[in-house]
Amino acid sequence: MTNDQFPMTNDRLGFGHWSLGFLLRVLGLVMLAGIKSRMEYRLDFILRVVMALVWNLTSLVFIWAVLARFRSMAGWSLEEVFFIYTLRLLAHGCYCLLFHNVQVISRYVRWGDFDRVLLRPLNPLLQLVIWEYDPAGIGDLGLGLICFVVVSRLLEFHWTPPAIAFLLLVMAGGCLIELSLFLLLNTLVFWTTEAGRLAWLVVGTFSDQFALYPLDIYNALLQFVMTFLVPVGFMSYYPATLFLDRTEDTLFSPIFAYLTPVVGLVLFALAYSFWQVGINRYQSTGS
Amino acid sequence: MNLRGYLKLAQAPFQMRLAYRTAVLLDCLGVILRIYLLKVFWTAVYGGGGAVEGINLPMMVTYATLASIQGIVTTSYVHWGMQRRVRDGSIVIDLIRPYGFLRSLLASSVGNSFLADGPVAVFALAVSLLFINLQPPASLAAGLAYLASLILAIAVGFFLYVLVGLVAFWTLELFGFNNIFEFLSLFLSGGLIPLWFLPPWVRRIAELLPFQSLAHLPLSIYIGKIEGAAIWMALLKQVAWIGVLSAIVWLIWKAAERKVIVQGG
Repeated sequence: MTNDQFPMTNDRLGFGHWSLGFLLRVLGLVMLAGIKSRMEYRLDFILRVVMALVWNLTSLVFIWAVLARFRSMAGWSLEEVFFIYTLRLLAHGCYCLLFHNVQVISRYVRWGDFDRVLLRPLNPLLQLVIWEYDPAGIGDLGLGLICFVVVSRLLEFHWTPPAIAFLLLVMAGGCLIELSLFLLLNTLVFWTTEAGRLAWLVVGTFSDQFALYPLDIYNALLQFVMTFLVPVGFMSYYPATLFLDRTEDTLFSPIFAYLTPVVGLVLFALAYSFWQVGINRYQSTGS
Repeated sequence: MNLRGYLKLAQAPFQMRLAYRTAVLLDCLGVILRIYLLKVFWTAVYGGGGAVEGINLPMMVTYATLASIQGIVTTSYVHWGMQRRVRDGSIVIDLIRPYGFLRSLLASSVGNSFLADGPVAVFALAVSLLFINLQPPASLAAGLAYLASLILAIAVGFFLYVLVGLVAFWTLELFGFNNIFEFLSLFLSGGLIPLWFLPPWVRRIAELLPFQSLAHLPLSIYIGKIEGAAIWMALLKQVAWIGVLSAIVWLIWKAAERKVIVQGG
């Protein structure tokens, strides 16, 4: 494409031969179109936001009701467990708001829609994420922010600018971790048809359930899994030990409390490379 | 339609499961992981302490494990099928077929619970026994009463989900309604947290609603929280709810039959 509408630069990012300004304008327009089409069905949109709230509230009410009765678990108070829950929800909320669509990968590939994605001159992953963009994740992130305000009151946190800066990095890292897990597992669709279900099982179990609690309640095997294999521990528990000033209890090493952003980046690099391998293997459906 | 036809309907869910073996296995794995998490959770919460509200840790782990397992058979998806039929209009075909619509739903639900979900539940239980120290029922009588109560729970569940499904005849859409229903059912059935651990006002509300028939009553019988003559009372409560709910379902169904909106017809 050499006409003036498509200014060329080099393609190091794999985002097509476009200048950054032009790329951003395209992204903005596509996302806006997604939001507009979602807003056509306003009631449906509101219901999905409410569903996100209810889904997250279920685990919160569970934790709250049990710990209000028992006061603590394995040396962690109700408020501290609530804080771990909140960190997970903030990261998860960012993931839902920005990248929720990676879960469409397996559908696109199985139904053959992926052909169209490959034909357009824009990074395929970026296309999938923004194409049918759905802002319903605002429900998850909104609840996360409410929990954040409440838990900060309960624990009498004084948020200094450096602490807030680190919190934002933790949110970004946690968000990348969930994104990468979904990306890695959904990429398996290039080999097996049940990839979407498997992704949902693994992330739904580890991020939605196991990561809500302090890691030291689990046995050594699970602690290892949640630190090195499905590193959801970095979404909530590890940074929480830092914020709660309990790094002397941090599993493995106190350094882990700082590692969330790094883990997020490394895992994403891994997932993205695997995704590239998968794309190269792609053959369209027969029909 | 004679009984043979309904038997065929009851077999269908089992054949569906056979066709999607990997999916069933993954779902099963999800339940097993959940059971493990609940065991770890309650162990951490009890933290070596003694009984709370007369429930010690082994009883609690048994309660949570059985709640997850029996949830496989008491949860019905009959309402989603109803929504689909109302939406795509195939409900009209159901109405002119030579069988009762509600009876056909009952047949496929019975098949679903006993033939399709039953084996999955038994398999999940068998695997769970590898890491769960499941307590036996409080007594032989409690064990037998539990089985009776479980069957009644499946029936209560069926009528509740059909009620949810009937909403589709008016709204064509169950998404939001089903969500509220699931949320209430999760907490008021005692399936997630035993009702004894909840604040008294929640318990009072739960007493007045049918949800506790799904989990709280059968599980309380199993672990011996409900015993003696109270067992009969609990079973009677479930039977009464089946009566009340089936009457409501029948009345609403009569109204729905007249009210069928077919999209795009």
